[in-house]
Amino acid sequence: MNAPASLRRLTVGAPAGIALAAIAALSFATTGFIASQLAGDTAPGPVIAFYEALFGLCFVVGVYRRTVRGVSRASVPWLIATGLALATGFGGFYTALAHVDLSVVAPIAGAVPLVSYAAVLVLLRGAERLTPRAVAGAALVVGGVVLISIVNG
Amino acid sequence: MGLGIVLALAATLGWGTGDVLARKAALLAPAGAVVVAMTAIVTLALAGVVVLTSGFGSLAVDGWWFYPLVAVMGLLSYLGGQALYLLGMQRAGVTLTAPIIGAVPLLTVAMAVAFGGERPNLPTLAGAGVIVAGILLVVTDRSRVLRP
Repeated sequence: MNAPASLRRLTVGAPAGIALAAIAALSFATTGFIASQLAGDTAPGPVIAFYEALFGLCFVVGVYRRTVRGVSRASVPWLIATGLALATGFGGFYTALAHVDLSVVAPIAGAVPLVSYAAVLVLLRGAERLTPRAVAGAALVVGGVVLISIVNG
Repeated sequence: MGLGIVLALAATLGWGTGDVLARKAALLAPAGAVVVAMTAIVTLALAGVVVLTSGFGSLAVDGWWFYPLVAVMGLLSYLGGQALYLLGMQRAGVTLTAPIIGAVPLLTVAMAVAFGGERPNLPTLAGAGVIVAGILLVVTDRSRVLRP
C-alpha cells in the first residue's frame, strides 16, 4: 500500500527541502554581507542595487525566457507596482548600509514577512486572516525594531 | 531616528509589499514571466534613480572586482535564494522551511560579526532575537492561511 502523499513528502523530500531552504538562507545572508562590504566606499547603494538587478535580469531571462510572452495586459499595473516596491527595497537596503552596520539593518529587514502578512490582509482579502498568535508575533517584531532603532538611531 | 534606520524601514516596506504585489501579478500571468518582468522594472527604476540623482557618470565604478561581486549578488538574490527556497518549500512544506528563512537575520548578523568584524551591542542582538522570535511566531502559524 502506498503511503499518503503528505507522508511521502515528509519522509522522502523533507531532508532535501530543508537543505535547499538552508542554502537559500545562506544565499540571502551572503548577498547582504557582500553588499555591506561594497556600500558607501565603493559605490552608492542605488548603483549596487542597479548592477545587482542588471545581472539578476540576465540570469532570470536565461532561465525563464520561454515564459516571457505570457505577460497579460491586466498584470502590467501589478508588475510595475511590484518593480517599484522591490526597487525601493534593494535601493533602500544598500543605501542604509552606508549609514549603519549590517548587524543593525539585517534584523530590521528581517521583518519583511510581517509586512507581507499585513499587505496580504489588505491586497489579497480572504487569503489569510488575523490570528492572536500572528498579532503576538507582530508585537514582538515591532518591539525588536523599536529597540534597535532607539539604540542605533 | 537616524537616516540608516529610516532607509532600512523603507526597504522592509518595499520588499514586504513587493512580495505580495508579485503574488497578485502571478494570479494574472505565468510565474516565470512575472519574475522576468518585475526584475526588468526593478532594473529600469534603479537606473532612473541613479541617472536622475547622480548622472550617467556614477554608473562607472572604480575597481574591476566590483562587477563580479555584484554578478554573484544578482545570482544569489534574484535566482539562487528565491528559486532554491521555492524548491525547498515544495519538498519539505512551508512549516519546515519558513523558520529557516525566518532566521536569515541571525545568519546575516553572524556573518557580519565573523567576517565583517562588526561588534553589535547587546540591545541590538537582543532586538534581533526578538524580531526573529516574532517572525517565527507569524510564519509558523498555519491557522492564519485560509487559501494558499
